[in-house]
Amino acid sequence: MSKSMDLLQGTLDLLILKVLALGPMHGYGVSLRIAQLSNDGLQVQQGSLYPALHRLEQQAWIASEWGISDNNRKAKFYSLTVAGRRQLRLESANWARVSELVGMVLSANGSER
Amino acid sequence: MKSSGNRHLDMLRLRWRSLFRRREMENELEAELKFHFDSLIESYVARGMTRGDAERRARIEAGIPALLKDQCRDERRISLWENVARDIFYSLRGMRANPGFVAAAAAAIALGIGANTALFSMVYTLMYRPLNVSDAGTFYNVHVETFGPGNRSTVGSQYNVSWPEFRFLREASRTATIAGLAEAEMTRKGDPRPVRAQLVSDNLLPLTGGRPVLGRFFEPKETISPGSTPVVVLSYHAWREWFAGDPAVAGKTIALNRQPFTVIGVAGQRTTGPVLLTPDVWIPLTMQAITRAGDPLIGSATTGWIQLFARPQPGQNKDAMQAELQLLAQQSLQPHLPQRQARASVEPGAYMNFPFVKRQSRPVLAILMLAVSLVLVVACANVANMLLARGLSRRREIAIRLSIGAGRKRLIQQLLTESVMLALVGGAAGLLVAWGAARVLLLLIPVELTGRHQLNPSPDAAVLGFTAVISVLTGVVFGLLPALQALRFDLTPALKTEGLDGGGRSGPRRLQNALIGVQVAVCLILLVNAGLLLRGFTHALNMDPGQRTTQLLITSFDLRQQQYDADRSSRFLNTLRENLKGTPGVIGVTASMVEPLYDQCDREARVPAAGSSGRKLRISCDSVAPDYFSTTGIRLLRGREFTEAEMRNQAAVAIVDERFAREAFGSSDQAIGATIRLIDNADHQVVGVAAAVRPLDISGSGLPRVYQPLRGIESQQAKLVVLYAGSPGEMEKAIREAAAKVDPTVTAGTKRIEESIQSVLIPSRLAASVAGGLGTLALILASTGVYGLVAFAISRRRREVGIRMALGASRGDVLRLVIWQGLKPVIAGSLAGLALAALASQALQAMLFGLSPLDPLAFVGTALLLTAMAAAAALLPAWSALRIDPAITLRVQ
Repeated sequence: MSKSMDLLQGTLDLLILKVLALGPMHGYGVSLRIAQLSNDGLQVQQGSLYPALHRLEQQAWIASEWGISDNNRKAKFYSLTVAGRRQLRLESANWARVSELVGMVLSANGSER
Repeated sequence: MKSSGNRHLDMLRLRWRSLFRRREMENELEAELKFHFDSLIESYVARGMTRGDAERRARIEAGIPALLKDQCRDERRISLWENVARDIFYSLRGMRANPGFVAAAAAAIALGIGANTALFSMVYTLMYRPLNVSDAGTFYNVHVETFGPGNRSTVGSQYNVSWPEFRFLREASRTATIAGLAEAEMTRKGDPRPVRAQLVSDNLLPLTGGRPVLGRFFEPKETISPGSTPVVVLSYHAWREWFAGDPAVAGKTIALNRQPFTVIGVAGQRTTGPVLLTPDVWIPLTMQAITRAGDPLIGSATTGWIQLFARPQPGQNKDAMQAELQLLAQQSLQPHLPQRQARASVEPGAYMNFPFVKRQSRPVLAILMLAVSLVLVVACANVANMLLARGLSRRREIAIRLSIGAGRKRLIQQLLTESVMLALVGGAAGLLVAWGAARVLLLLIPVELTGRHQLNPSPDAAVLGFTAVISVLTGVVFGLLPALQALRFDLTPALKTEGLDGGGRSGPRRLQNALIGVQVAVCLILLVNAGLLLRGFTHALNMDPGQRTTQLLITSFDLRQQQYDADRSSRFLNTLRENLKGTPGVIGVTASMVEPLYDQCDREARVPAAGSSGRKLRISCDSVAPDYFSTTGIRLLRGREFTEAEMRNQAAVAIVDERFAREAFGSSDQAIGATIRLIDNADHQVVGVAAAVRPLDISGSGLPRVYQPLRGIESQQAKLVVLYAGSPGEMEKAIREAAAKVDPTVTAGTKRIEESIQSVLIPSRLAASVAGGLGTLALILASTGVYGLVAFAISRRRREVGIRMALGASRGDVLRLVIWQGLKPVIAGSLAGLALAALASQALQAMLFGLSPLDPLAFVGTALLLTAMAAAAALLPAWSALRIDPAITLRVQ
């Protein structure tokens, strides 16, 4: 991910799970989709993406399968498992709560000069 | 991989794949990243970039592929194992490339670990190793200890039980099958060598898993009524030696202790009994009386002499046996000692697992363990220094690996793997060293004197495990410092050539010096104490023990085995003394219970005897015949010797030594005529005061001594002491003939007092040689350490030496500089070592025979020895440094 936009620890995992909830996808597709959904605001680099994918697979939240890509090449497709879907719900709720709380703190009146 | 729907199952399958389908996983990872890379290029080309630009851009984005793959592997948690495997491979390759270094380091480690393994396997073999019986895991020793009111004595180990107690325990136990055993030395007609017998219950041999190769073992009815069944089972070797393996031996008769025994069977070769010494024959427990004439133990309810063994009955275990036998042991005392308490403990079978042995050997073992660990410390410091030096020359390699992205943690892991591998090689060599040493030591045991033992020195799983664990620990210990040190530097200069030189930085050099200091200090601790023990030993040889140490012959007889009772024994000794007095060459003849120079008795005396207000004094004791003091050369200061009449009448008289007289009465004069009360509750009148002797027996009490006239029952085991002129061989023959004239069946064993001194000093000689051996090991290690340090320092400073010499420095200057560098840490280490040795030597006081634990000769002598060795070790490489041609060294750079 870009240096200017460091994602919080665990956030990337959440984004990957979310993107994969839309359908099975290969690693390159995941990075494209995240960029697209954030209007190119979030650039996930391979150095973060692939370790994260392997980590999530190791946790059995996502599963992988070799398939054929749009450009007719063999690619490794990741998809959400049942456990992954549950994890996504949990993490999304968690994220919503955290961002709400952070927002509350930041929108406190008066003290900012 | 497709999901199975069950998360944990998925995870398990993934782990499995990660671990065992590595190649497949690697290919997939490669393909996955390649796909990403290609897709990126395509997308850039689609946006209008040239192919070249697109590739460049994609490559930048991909980062370092190796690192990325590493991270992915890390996520799979397999990298640890994979890395270990790779590091092992890598370090093996490194070792093959540097055989000299590996040999030097492994040799140092082998010495350190070998000493530790040897001690471990000795202790383990004696105290913990399963016995040589079938199914050893379910074979137990049972120890019964009793305390409280009532008199109960034991013969042999203090955990032995009496005959009625044994019968009760065996009958009553529902959890255990209990067998009993006692050992005895017997005499076989026509055989001058003692016969080692095991007295056993009928079930003992079957319980050990033994089988007869001929005939049968004992039947239950043969071990019930005392004295009724003179039958014998021969050991395999006795059958071969005595009967030349005669297949018709069953039914034949042999005479043991003058009693004819019928041979009923021969045990198999592997049936060797469940105790340390293997017997020549087995006889029933019920035949005990003939092994100890005049003092049969089998008739006494309160004398323990039977050692217990047990196996759990079907469905039972150790805990159940422990619980039940505790109750039964208490009940077994009920008939004869109702007030007394019993404590039973069930221990996995081993030769010496007696609680008191474990307790008493602890201090000695602690000292030994400390000593061998110190040797290992020296070895570790030594190898750490080698690794440090090697680390300096490997800086460039390490710098390169760091700069291409290897993590520091990974590098430390790799360096540690290397040192652990090195330690394992050294440990394996150490195991061989220890094994060889154990075999040699066992060969040195005089089997004719001690009996055949069944100690097995070959390493088993426990010894291998110990060596492996200690090797790995050693590897980590000596590898950690150099590994950390190797990574502590700036990359930039290290990558350039000057980084190779390592000059100017004091960190590693200081560490190297500290390690040399540690080696020297620890080495000195070992050496000083070895020196002290050696000095103590020679001191003991040269000191005046207060009695004659030459021209005495000490003879013992097998009167007990020959069924002699008290009366007959004293008659035998008296006649023999009388007859010898007229023999030419005999100057004096007497007898004593305790062998001269030994100290085997620890009792109490009450002074004064009258009234209950008497003071109790701990004493050592001896029982002696008339003429004892004149014969042995112990000076009588006051009073007189015992008379023949006093000995025959068991008169209540005593001779005390000077120390006793002083402690009990203030002076020798006051002691004469006073009465003291001894353990038999009889009052003895002091008729003489003798000079104090100095026993050489370090296990002895060293207490004030009281002599009593030799009593009948003691004569059974008393030693005849003869002062002679002329040749000891002639005199020995004369004594043998004189004894044969009284009773030709009695066997006489004679030794000269000089031999006696040698054997009584065996423990101190052993201690001195073990300490000396360990000290020598440490000295060798420390010297090679100093040599290595100086040689290394010089090789680093060749250029400096070259410049100095080119600028006109004399050889002497350079030599002084180089040697001084090497000796500085030696001197610092020596000072620290001397101080620590002074602390440690206090523990040896008992073995020094009055020598001060701060004996200056031992301290200064060993410090000088060590410094001289270190100086020589430094001089060797320094000398070769001087042959450097300045022109060449300057050009090298």
